Amino acid sequence: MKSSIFDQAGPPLPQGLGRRGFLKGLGGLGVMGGVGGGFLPSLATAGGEPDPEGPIFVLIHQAGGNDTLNTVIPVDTADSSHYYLGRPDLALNAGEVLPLQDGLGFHPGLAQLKGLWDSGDLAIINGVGNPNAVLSHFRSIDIWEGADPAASTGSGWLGRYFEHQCEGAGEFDSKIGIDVRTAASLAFRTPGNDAALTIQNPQFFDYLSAEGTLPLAPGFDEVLRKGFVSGLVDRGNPSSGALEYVTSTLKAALGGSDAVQSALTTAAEDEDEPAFPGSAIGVSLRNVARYIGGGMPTSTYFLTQGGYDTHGGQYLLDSAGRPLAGKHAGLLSSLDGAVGAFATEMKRQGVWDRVVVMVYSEFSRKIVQNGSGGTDHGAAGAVLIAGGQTQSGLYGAYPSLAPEDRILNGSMPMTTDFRRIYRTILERWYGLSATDAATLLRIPVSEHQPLDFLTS
Amino acid sequence: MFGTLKNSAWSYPKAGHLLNRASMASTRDERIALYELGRDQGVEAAVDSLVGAADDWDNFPFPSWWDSKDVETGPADSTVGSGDQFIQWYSQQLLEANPLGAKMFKFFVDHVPINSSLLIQQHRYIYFFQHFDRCRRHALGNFKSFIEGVSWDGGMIWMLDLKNSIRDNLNENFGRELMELFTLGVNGGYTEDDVVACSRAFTGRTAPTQQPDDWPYTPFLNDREWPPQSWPDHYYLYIDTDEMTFLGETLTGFTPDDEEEERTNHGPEVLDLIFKQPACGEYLVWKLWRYFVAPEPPEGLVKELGKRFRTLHDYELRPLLKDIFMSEAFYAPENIGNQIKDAGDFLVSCMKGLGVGLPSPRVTYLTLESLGYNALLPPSIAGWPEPEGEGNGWLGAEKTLFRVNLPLLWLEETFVMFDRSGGTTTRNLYSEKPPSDFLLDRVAPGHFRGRRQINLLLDELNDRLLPFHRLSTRQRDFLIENDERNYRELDKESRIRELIRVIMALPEFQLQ
Repeated sequence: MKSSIFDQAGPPLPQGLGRRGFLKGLGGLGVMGGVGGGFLPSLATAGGEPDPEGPIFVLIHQAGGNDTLNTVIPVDTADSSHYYLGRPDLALNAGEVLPLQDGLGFHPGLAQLKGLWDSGDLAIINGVGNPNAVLSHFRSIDIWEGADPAASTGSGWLGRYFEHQCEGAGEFDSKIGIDVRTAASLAFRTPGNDAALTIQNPQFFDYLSAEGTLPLAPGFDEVLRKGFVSGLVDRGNPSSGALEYVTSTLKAALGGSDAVQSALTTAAEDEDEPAFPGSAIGVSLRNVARYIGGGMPTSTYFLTQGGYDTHGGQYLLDSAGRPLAGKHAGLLSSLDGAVGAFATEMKRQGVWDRVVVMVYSEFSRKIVQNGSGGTDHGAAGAVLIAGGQTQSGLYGAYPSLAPEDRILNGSMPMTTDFRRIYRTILERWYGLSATDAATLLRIPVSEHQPLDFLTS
Repeated sequence: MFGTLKNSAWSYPKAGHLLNRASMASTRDERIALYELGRDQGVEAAVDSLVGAADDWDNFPFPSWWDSKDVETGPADSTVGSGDQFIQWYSQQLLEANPLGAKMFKFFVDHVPINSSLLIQQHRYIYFFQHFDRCRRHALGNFKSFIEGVSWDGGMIWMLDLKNSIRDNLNENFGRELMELFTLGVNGGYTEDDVVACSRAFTGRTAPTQQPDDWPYTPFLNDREWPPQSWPDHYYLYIDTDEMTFLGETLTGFTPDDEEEERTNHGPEVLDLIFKQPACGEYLVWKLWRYFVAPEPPEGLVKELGKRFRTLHDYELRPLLKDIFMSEAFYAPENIGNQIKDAGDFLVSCMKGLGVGLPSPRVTYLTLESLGYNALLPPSIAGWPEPEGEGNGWLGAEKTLFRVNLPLLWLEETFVMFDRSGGTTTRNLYSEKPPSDFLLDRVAPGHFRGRRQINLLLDELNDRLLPFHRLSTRQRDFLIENDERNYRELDKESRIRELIRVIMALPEFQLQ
């Protein structure tokens, strides 16, 4: 993440909250993860076997700033006139959207998400933002991933959670980040511990072919197996800083590779797997489904769908002259297909009740369209939560669109602090106490109460 | 004056550190030569002598097809794709151009990245060559001139929607990123109103297209030169020349068709004001320090060097780089051998370490893409990963494995690459024999190859491949024990190759 020369280091992390040293002794398995709730004890005792009851959390970041005003659309609300006035070219009318409730409708590209809504498995949280909204992508991403409106934390909210849960485990063994970007997410990070495996392409995450000879030349895999780590990597001169980081990355990668490949081999043979879209987000979610199906004991996955920075060419007219084609519609439709197939596959695997999918963006876009058929950076927006234990419904008030209520040159104001969602996940999904959740989020326990989108 | 390195503190390791950071790798002979120059001449040499005359870039001409109107069908009389050839052209310069110039070229490509997927096909490579040419020719020039050029850059005008930003119908993309990412930084002291003013000021700059729906430019294209250049728009209605306030200063309005008026928009005035801000000098110093030295630049030093850069050096890059390389903090022990190589540095260090050349254009392209560095497709307008505390986004788990494997490309001359298209990835075995100057003879001359010379050979490889990290006694014991067996079981060359690749697989090889 970009940070500033003026950033201050955040306050020290909470210490000693967790079960120190919990995962010690399991270092041989590179990818184990799967922490939280009742998951850890069985993981510890079963040596990495997945807990059939353990929670799974899948984050999908819509990178670039999703235009949620054209995602959850106020076609018939008290504020609709402001929507239509501000967006003469972009606005969708009531007949074009998929009706939800209270005068709101989904973009028509979201048919499968609408299906999840109808079956009670999709929550919509409106007006989500932070009290320090800024219109910089990178600053906003730091705010979201650090759970810190000052964007000065230098650690991620999930990283702090994992550290809390398994302090002493260290290294990269707690979870997998699947990220279509090149870099790992701040969300998983704590100082000195970038504790996610970043796997863009699982086929690539391999140092042996199925035949045991490729991609490495014959012999080298033998060197690795015969003691590269114990004989060489672990015997270097005392290291610190970057060398320590590289060393732990390399060890985790070598160890994790086996676990990932074995999960994929188990899962990929299954002919009943539903078809996932061929888009990057489709392939990434299919891989996550295969990790889960293949028995990876990983609790948290982080994905990115890029392309939402629709300053220009946000829409094209379809054959009927409606603004239902183009960039934004394509992105939403691709997301919809991917999440829809994922939900189907999770149900088929019988694990939909263990899964929560959260779809969010670093900010939404301005209420008024710009001069190039697009929208500029905005502030608060909608977050979608799907899963077998999710309660369909609208959470958080839809922001006022009235000109006098707008912030930052025409952006939607927030009605729901984003940390309330995190707190809900920490308390009601991962099972933390209110005190621990608040400590990790660095908020007073009395503020930013959980929402009710999960069945208890 | 900031703390400069004492003359008496100049040493061989410091000379090596300077050389490795100012270029992308070094040989022992080069390190010794730089050390023997002493501090002042050493730093001078690192900035000046390593960099020849400005026209050195002419040694790397564009391929002949660069301004062809149908590059998408592939360069004429070649089976190699244009993307592959572009990346090969760029990589060749990272490897062979004057080292500090190449290093700064790479920095600017990252600092103001353009994305090929956002440019129309017709102009894609034309804009890319123009943009990269600007980056390399300003690599050691003047930062302000560079950014002025970027504001006229056809690729950037497309990338950040400037061509679509017109009076009363603004698009803020360019105005925002110009300040946030290119000049002032996110905390650079500007407001959202300044973002709007900055966007208004640059209205009316456009770059041509042949897309028929991109009214109104199409009718003019045939009158324009080829290859296309950006231009100020004819339509003065599209330029916002009203009075406006930017960074607290008033920019007087003007009538665009007034013959006495030289201005076409407020853009140049806005750039002048931006470059007067202390934050402007500090931001680039901060970024350069992170690029050349360490992830957390000392705040006081950033302020001081930033002020010198802005007021004393007038945004000239060479004296700033000399300041950096002359500073005591640059040579602090914790900064030596403690930087994770980015993808470009890693590739170049592999090749210089082994004394080999680039593989074929296709494999070079796939290699850099697999390292997370496709210069045609930056992950965002903020460029490629930057250091994060102790860590670094360049080293995700899968990329680390790829780095461990990569030297085999030259050592074994066969390598599995991953071709990506759409959502699928396929494995392909490439047999390559990249140019090498008798690789094994250079790395491990014959007199090091005897069984009893193993310690000399390890010294040589340690110094060549891991100049800042001594192999520990226990590591050497392991390698010697392994070598005993290989000496019996493998042919001579295979034995040496295995030793080299194991050392290049060590975490220490990821650092410079």
